[in-house]
This record gives sequence, structure tokens and C-alpha cells, in this order.
Amino acid sequence: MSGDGMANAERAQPVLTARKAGLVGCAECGHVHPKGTPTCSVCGSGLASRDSASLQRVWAWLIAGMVIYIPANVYPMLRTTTFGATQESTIVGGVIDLVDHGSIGVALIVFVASVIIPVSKFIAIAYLALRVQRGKPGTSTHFHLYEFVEFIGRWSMIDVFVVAILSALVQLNFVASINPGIAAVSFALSVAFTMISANSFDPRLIWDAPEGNPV
Amino acid sequence: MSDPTPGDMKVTPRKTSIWRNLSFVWVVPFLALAVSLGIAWQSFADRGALIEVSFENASGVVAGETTVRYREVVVGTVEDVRFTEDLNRVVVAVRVDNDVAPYIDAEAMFWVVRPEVSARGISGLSTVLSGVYIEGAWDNVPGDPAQSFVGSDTPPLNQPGRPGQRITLATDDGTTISYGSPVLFRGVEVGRLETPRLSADGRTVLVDAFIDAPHDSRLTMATRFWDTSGFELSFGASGFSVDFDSLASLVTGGVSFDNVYENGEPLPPGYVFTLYDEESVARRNTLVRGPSQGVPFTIQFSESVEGLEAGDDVTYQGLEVGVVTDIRSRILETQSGPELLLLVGVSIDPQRMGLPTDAGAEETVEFFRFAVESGMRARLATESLLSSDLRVELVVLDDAVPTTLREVEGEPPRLPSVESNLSDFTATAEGVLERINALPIEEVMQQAINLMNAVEQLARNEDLQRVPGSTVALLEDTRALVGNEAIQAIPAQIETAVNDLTALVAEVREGGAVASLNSALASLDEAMVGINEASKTAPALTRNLARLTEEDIPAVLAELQGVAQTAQDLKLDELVASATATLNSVDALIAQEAVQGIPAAVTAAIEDVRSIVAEVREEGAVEALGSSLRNLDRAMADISVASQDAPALTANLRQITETDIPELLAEIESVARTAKDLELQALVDSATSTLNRVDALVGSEETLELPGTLNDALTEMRLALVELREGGVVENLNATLQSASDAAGSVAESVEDLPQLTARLERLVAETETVITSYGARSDFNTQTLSALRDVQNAAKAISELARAIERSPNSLIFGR
Repeated sequence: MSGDGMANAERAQPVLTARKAGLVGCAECGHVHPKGTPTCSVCGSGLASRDSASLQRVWAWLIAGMVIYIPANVYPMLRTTTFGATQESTIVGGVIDLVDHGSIGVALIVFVASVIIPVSKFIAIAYLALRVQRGKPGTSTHFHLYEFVEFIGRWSMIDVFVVAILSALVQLNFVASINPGIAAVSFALSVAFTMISANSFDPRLIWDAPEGNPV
Repeated sequence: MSDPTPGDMKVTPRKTSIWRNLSFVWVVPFLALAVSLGIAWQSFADRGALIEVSFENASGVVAGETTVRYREVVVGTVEDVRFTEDLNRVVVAVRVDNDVAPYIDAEAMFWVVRPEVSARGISGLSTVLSGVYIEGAWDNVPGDPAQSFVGSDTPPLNQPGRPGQRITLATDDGTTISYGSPVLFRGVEVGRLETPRLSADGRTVLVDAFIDAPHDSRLTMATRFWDTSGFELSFGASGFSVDFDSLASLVTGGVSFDNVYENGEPLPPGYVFTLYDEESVARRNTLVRGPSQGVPFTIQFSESVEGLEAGDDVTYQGLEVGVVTDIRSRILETQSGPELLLLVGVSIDPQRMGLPTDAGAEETVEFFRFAVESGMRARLATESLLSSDLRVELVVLDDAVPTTLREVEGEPPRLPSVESNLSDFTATAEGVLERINALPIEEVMQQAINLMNAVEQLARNEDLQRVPGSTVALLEDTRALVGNEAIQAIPAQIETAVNDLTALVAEVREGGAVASLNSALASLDEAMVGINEASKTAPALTRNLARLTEEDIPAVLAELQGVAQTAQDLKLDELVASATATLNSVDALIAQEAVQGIPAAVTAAIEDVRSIVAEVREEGAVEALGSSLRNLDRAMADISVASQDAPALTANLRQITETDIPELLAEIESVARTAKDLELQALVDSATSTLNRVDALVGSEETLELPGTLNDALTEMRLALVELREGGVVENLNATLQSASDAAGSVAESVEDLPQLTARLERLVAETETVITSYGARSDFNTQTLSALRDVQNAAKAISELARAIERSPNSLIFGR
């Protein structure tokens, strides 16, 4: 859609946005319409030059995701019952256990997927949102950052998938059984909220400069 | 595509009102926040109460993993395991659920459930894989929640909320009981034992037991517990038998109980049961308290206690009231050096002595203090006639030397003891055995053998072959003779004679001779009393005599002297000479030996008389003597009065002598002169001749023999008295009794011989029967002989029965019963 445009924009400063050009691009299919066109003639979705409520949604989902991330780390992720002995482990506790058992690789994967990525997403989204809110014009780096956040967000669900698969498979009654804890739901919600937050972000705002400070 | 031209779109600044543009999406973070806070609050609110349970060790308890369960349902989790401040115990902090927290009050108990394999089975198997857990028990009534508890490593027997009764058993030996041993009632397990422990004084082993409801209602004062541990081997006529209750009791020991009588009294609080070693002992022992709960006493015996052992009975008039606990010796330092004492410790059950149920040592000692002063003593007694086992017997003796219960601080009170009569029993038994031993059994046997030999020889004699014909007739005669009623009646006659003899002896015994003797002695005593009374009047008599002698007699003598002087003038020379001659004759008479023998005879007679004083008691001689003395006293008093008149009398006499006598003499002279004329000489001659005749009479042999005769008479009288004395009833009685004794001895000897005689007769009959059998089983001779011999046998049996009757009660010979 706008890959070439973006590449061009990096090199040509200042950037001429569609908005400055009196056009409005479709966020879904990328087709450009003259300003004032209510719906996209190609895909039929609503057209808006800028989503005025975008930042509100970003912040709202982001805060929700951050809030829900706290119990996801405090409460146990897994409840493992082995021969009648029940062991509850949180995310970080599980990582430490894995390190203790020598599975550093697995521990690294879990740690990156469950801790580093979500926290990076929080930081990245907050950074971008703050930057837009303060009216600083973004660069292509910022846009790459946004794309990376949007891309990587789904991989944070790897923990949730592991828990779901284990819970479904390891139900051997007395010998061993694994049940998801509260943290599993919380973590899944946190990842989902973060993804929604990232999706809510209108990347076109990166290019906008505040009023009275046209580039 | 043309370049887009910048639009002239007017960009207006955003409305400042944040609320107008507020997106609906802001609900989401608040919702998330609310949900998170809700979860946090809920988990905080649901985390339950924290309690602390301390254990000896925390083996297997892991913080965060070990659960706390109630009725096998998880109600909490161990949060922390730490030590107490002094590191003595392990404190386990447990987070229990809120719904059970109100029930965990001070009554709650906690213990660790571990896998356990014992003789009673396997428990806690689930914890082999899952690890230990902490089991809690509490009742179903909410109480004040408590925070700290003391847990045990083993399940408590009386768990809260579990109906039943907790009791305490006391035993001397704790080796056969252990924790968890079953308590059986008729073989059904109704409870368990806890861990045995020592009592405070170390004398007994105490073990608590928990009896489940409803079996605990069977526990009364009549309940006896006994040990069923191990097995019992018995080897007897019925074979070899092994007996044990259950495998569990075989390995870990067990306790059974039963009620020895119905409707026992309810248990007082704090009652301690006694655990007996064997069921038979428990059932037999009706002591309410065992040796360990009884009141201790000691008894000092001065004789051998051989045969007395710890555990022997202490009886009071046959009732078992205690047991012997120990026998020991002790050195007692006395003034005459160390002395070895034998002390027997006994344990008395107050309740068996009739004291109240709750009577303690104080009341018991108080009771015995009173009892000892009333004559209660301890002594040794035999368990039975044949065994040498002893027991301690409490007896109340009327003639006991007064003493008191000896109480020394720090040791049990000491009961006084008396000598037992054990040695008499032993001596009697020995005498019996010796007598049996001395029976001439061998001689009898030898005689029997000789008799049999003789009979055998006789039987082999060919002449005997010809005997039967005549023997038949002889036996018929013999049979008639034996069957004669007179002969049959002989034993009865003997018995009658013996009865007569017995009656005779009884009559002699009841004759009352002794009673007479006693009454005679009593009379003598009375007589002596009379003499004593009479002698009291003697001093007055003496005084009168003295007064008479001192005052009156001299005057009388003076007067008499005057009279004598006057009389001296009288011519009486010849008369005097004749009198002198007469006196000489009398002197010669007296000088004779026979006369001198009289005093000795009289002395002997007096002694005899004295000896028969007792027998003349009826005549009241002493009283007569007393009264005569009193009469004499009165007579002397009269004499005294009379003697006061004597001076006047003598004065008159003197006057008469002085005035009238000369005249009288003159007259006499004249008369004499007249008389001289009147052949006075002839008169004197005749008087002289008369005196000479008297002298001759006195000097004649007949007169001389008179003293001898008198002497003989006195001697005879003395002999008669001696005879009377010596031939008394007592000697007769003695002789009679002696004769009776001899007769009884003779009868006894004859009785001793009777069994031998009977035995010999029986042997003879038997042998004879054997001999006769050889003459043919069905012959006439045989039949006759047999019937004759049966008669003889019957007679012998009659004699034997009589002998047995006498033997059974030899006393009947003497007492007639």
C-alpha cells in the first residue's frame, strides 16, 4: 500500500501527507479518495483523514493491559499437581524454576515472551502515543517501531498457548495434572488489550505536526 | 496521478472539554482495574486465618505445599516453617480456610499423617507419594478461635468430636503394652492405648486408653483389665495348645476388659484401673484397687518368712484385703548391737476393708490406728494344709499385748505382728507321717507271705484231699456257729461295754470331788478369816491380864503370903511328906519313856488335827475358838473386876487369919489334942497307907502301861487321820482317771491292731478262696466253703466297721459322744 510512499517519505523531508494533499486514504485498502468522500469506493470502509479518538483508545487499552498485567504476574500461572502435591507457579517463578533445572533456553523463551515483549510493548506504545500527543513529528524509525510492536504482539500469546495446551493434555488425574491459574487469563487479557491498543493507534498521527507548528 | 495540492481545509483546534470527546473505550481500563482489584481483594479476603502449630520436628512438612486436612478435605496450607525462639520445636504456620476457622478453638488438635506400616495395618498410604499432610480435628461447635497449638507426631486417641471416654490404667510392667495397642471387649476392639508413661513416684506405669462410645458405658467399678499380649503356651494331657487373641495383640500387645460383676458402681473422677497380667488373676481379684493404688504398710516378723512371696494375699478373716508387695530386711541399730529385721511390705485396699470409695491413705491409716489399738495384729498363716506357701493374715486378738501403730516419717506405717502357730501344724503333720511310717507294714506283709506259704503247703498236702468230706460238715457247723446271733451280737456287746465304761468315766468325772475340795479350801479360808478376827481381840485380853498382874496380883500375893505364913504354922509335915512321896511316884511315872513319848504323839496328833481343820469346817470350830477367845476375854475382864475386890477379900482374910485363926488354931490344937487322944495316929497311918496304895497304884505296871496305851491310841488316831487324808477322794479320782486312761490306751492299742487283723483276715479269706477255687468251681465243697467264708467275711466287716467307727472318733470312748 504505502511501502513505497514510506520509503520515499524517509528520504524527502518534509513529508507531504495525504491530508496536506487534500486527500484521504483508506486505512484498509489504501485507496486514496478525495477529501470528503465518506466511504471507500473499493472496500467500503469508512474514511477519515485522522482518527480523532485514536489516542484515547490507545491509552485506554494500554492502561487496561498494564493493569491486568499485574495480577498476571502476581497470581500463579500454572497449578501443577503431581502425585497429590500441588505446586503453583507464577510466570517469573516458572522462569526461575526452569533456570534451576538447567533449561536456560526454555527459560529465555518464556522470559522473553512473557516479560520482555509485553513490557516492551507497553513502553513502545506509550512512547509513540506520548510523542504524538506532544506534537513531535515522527520519523520512519517510529513507524518501524509501531510496525514491530504490531507484529510481535501476537507472539506474546505463546505463554497462554502453552498453558492451554498443557492444561488440555496433562490431565492424568493423580499422577500429574496441570490447570491454568488466574494469571493465565490475566496474561491473555493483558496481551489482548495491548494488541487492541496497538491496533487503535493511528500511525498516520506519527506524521502530523501540531497546529501552529507546520513543518 | 497529479500531485495533490494542499487543501484549504481549516483545521480547528480540538475542543478543550475532555469529557465531550471522551471515548467509550475508557470503560475498559477501569473495568480491568476493577476486576484486578476485585481479584486482589477477594484473594486477600479468602486467604483465611493464620494459625501456628508446633511440632517436635517438621519431617516432611514443606511450606506452601503441605496441606492441612479435616476429614481428609484440604482446609489449609502450610505457609511457613520456622523454629521457636529457643529452637526446641518447629512452628508451622498454617493458613486455614475461613469457613472452618471459627471451629478451630483451643480444643482442636493437629498431628502429622505419615505413611505407617504396623501390625494393625497400613495407614497414610496416600502420603507415600504426595508427602505428609497435617490432619486436624475439632468439634462441630464454633468457639473462640485460638492461634497456637501443639501438634503431635501421632494421631491422638481422643479426638475432639469423637465420642468415648478416656481412662487411665496402672500396671507394674509396661513392656507388653505400647502405643496404639487395641483395647478389646470380648475380642472386639473398642479402643486404643496411648503411650505408656511412668507415674510421678516411679512405682507404676500409667497408660491412657480411649474407649469409643458406646462401649465406654460398660466401664464401672466392676471392670477389670488384663493384658492379652503375646501368646500362651500350654502343654498338658489334652496336648499342646497355643493361645493368643489377635495378630495385633500378639505383636503390639493388647488389653482386654470385662465386668466381674453386674451393676458396678459408676466411676469416680480420676479413677485409675489396674491392669492385671492374666485374665484369671483379674477375674479372681476382687480388689477394687490394685497393689499400686493400695495404701502401703509394713509388717515386721520375728520368724521365718520362707514361703511368703510378693503377690501373696493379705486376708482379714479369710477376705482378701491386700497383697504382699515386697519382702526385705533391714539392719536396726539397737543398744545391744545391730539387729536384723524382716520387713514385709503390704498394700491394703481400703475399700476391701469397708472404707468409703474415696478413702485415701489418711483415712486408712487412721482406721488401722484404731484397729491396732483394738487388738488387730498381723501374723503368718499357711495357704493350705499341705503347702508351705504363706499368706499374711490380719487377726483381732483379745489377749494381744497393747501396742500402737508405729508411724515413722517417710516410710509406711508398721503393723504389729504376733507369732503364728505354723510350727504346730508342721509338727502335727510330721507326727502323723512318722506314725504312718512306723506302721509294721513289712512285718504284716512277711506274715501274710508266711501264711500264704503255709496255706499253700497245706493245700498241697495229700491228706487235705481227703478233708473235704469231713470239712463240709465242719463248715456247716462253722457256718451255723458264725451265723449264730450271739456271735453276731458280739461287736454290739463290745460297743455296749465301751459305752458303759465311758459312762462310768463320765460319772466319775462329774462326781464333783474337785468341787468339794474347792469348797473345803474356801471354808478354810473363811476359818482363817475368823481366826484373824479373833486374834484382834487378843490384845485387849493381854492388856487386862497385864493390868491384873501389875496391880492386883501383888496385893493378893502379899495377902496370900500372910496366909501362907499363918498356914506355915500348921503341922502338915507328914502330909507334905506323903505328898512328896506321891509326887516322887508321879515323877517316876513321868520319867518313864512312854510318858515322854506322849508329847510327840500329842504333837503328831495336833498336826493331824491341824490338817483336818479343813474337814471339820462345818462344825465351826474356828468360830467356836473365836467365840471362846471372846468369852475368855470377857472372863478375864470379869476377873479383872473381881480382882479389884481381892484386896478387900484379902484384908478380910488377913483379919480372919490374924484374929480368928489363932482361935481356930487354938481350937484346932484343942481338937488336935483331942484328936491325938482320938487315935489320930491311926488316921494318919491310914492316910499314909492310902497314899501308899495310891503310890502303888501309880507305880503298878498297869498304870505304867497306860501311857503306852494312850500313845498307841494317839498313834492310831493319827494313822486314822492320815488315812483319812491320804485316802481322799482326789487320789481315788486320780486312780480312777488313770485307770480310765489306761483303759482308753488299751482300747486304742487294740484298735490299732484291728486294721491289721482285718487286713489279715481279708487276705486269709482271699487266699483261701484262691485255694478253694482249685477244688472245683461248682463243687459242693466249694459252695459251702464260699458261703462260710462269706459269713466270716461279714463278721470281719462288722468288726472292721466297729474299728473304723472307733478310729474315726476315738474321743467317743472317753466322752461318750
